[in-house]
Amino acid sequence: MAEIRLEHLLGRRVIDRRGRVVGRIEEVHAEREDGEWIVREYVLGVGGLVERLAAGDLVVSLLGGFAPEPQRHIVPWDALDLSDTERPRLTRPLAELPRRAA
Amino acid sequence: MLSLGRDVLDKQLLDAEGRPFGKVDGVVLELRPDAPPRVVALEVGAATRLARLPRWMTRPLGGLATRATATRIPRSAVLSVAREIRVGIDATETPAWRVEKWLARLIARIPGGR
Amino acid sequence: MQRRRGVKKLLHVALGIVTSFGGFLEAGSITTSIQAGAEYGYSLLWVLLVGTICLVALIEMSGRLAAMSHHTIAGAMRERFGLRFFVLPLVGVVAVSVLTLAAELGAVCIALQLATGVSFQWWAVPVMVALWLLLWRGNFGVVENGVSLLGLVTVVFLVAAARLHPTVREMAAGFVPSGAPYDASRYWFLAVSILGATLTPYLFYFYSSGAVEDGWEPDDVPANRFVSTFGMGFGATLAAAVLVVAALVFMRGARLESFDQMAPMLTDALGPWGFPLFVAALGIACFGAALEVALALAYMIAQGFGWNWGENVRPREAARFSVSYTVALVLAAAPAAIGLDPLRLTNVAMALNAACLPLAVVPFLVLMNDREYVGDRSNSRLGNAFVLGVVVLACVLAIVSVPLDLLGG
Repeated sequence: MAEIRLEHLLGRRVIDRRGRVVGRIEEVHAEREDGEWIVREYVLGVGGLVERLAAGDLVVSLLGGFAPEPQRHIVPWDALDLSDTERPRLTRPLAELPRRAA
Repeated sequence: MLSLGRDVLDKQLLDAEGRPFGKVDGVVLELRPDAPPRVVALEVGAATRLARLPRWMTRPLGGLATRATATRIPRSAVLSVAREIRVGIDATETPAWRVEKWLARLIARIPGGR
Repeated sequence: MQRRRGVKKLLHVALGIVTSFGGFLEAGSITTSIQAGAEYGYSLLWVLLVGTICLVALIEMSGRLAAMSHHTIAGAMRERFGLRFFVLPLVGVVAVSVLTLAAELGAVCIALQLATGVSFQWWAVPVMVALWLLLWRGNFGVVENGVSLLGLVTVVFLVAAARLHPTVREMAAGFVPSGAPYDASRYWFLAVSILGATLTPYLFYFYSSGAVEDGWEPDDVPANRFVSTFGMGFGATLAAAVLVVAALVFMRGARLESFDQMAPMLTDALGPWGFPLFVAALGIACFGAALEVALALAYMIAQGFGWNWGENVRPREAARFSVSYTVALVLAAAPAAIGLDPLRLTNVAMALNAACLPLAVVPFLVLMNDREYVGDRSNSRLGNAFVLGVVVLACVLAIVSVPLDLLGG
């Protein structure tokens, strides 16, 4: 059985089909189905550390309307290739993946 | 929809008796060909925690690290996911409780510890 | 039934205020207030005011977090930020708290030295054992409240200050922020030490533990605001009183190098009783603080790792928790046992508390704005900005002024 650990997946950099880093896995959403927890999608956070920190609740409270918008994409489970667990790879272009509302 | 990072990982674990026995230190996913990954187990233990920390922090611990345990809790044992995660096992039967048992034996020798 | 519950709540609030008041002074606040008063008169009072307002805000936030999320600060931090990040504030706060514990323990030993003439070094192990026994055998709540009530002896500073008839106008001027009248690096070092002593992280981490254990609900938030404001506010008047007495009793600019020199400070106002009262106040206040820091430490570690913790838990049921405070006490007794000057240790501990504040407070502020934890009672922009400002200021001052003071002193 091929295993992967959630705690190592979270925060891992994701590359696109051309090998460029596009962002990091921020969250994994799973659905309860027939007593199993099935992974449905991943939340991909685009941008560097500064952008990710800058979108936090505290910063939004301090900056109000001037706070940067977080950029997040929803990656369906079949759009992420985890055969190399150290380098998750998108199987579809980023532009095709839906943006997530904040 | 369950957010595994937010709602499961690092959440407080309670055993069948309502005893706190750590936080979820790890979640094990099974990768399947042509099927979405699924959660097979939760893990609690120092070994799992150490694996999450950067190497420069854990290397000085050396020998201690090899004695660290990791207890696997099959997903089927999870009773509920709320503010805490309740699992239907007895914490005292797990390797994670080993340290607690060892210390408790030590403490029992000291007056007033009971 | 309603009325009985109301009375019970009122008593609870009253107890909360009285114990905050009696338990406010400890090694850091006493020494920094004395030094500030002796060297700069009233001109550092404004720092005490700023620190106190910030403390009241932080204490209120910890109560609110507990009431809304039923999580302690440490528990919530681990859950919200994950293990890897959590290790940073955990190590920081634990390290700084062990140092603070060492300072409290050292001060108790000094009080015993002043009382008996036996060197403080010999008292290190007995005091450590006494603290340990109380935690091991006692019900924490009873112990805590008991010692805090005994700590009301610190009211002697308020009495002494009143009897010395300070000029109100001069005192008031001290509450207005000002620069250093002379020796700027020393002034700002003392300012940082006061902030560090007022804002020691263990205080609000511990407060949230108590609140969770008492099962606070959202309805308790207004009472929480009341207790934190008045309890801490009154407590701070004690620290101000210490500063005022020092300002009036010592020669301006006098650099006090040891507790021996500080001990007679109450004799001008209270006569021959002044010395034993000072010793009693110092000893009891620091003993109580030591108990609280040790518990806060062990709570924080247990909460971060999800172990059993709590007031009435028998040592055997919470082995790792009990071992945590035992190890902390042993480490804290070491500096006094080997003869390290408790006054110097206290100064260093307070400055380091200030330097570590952003690490202890910023993740906490993030939690206080996260609706999943505090629901609709998240922080106001002003609250965030003020606390963040003070905390960053304290850290920057600490980084800048500590090396300067070490070079100059």
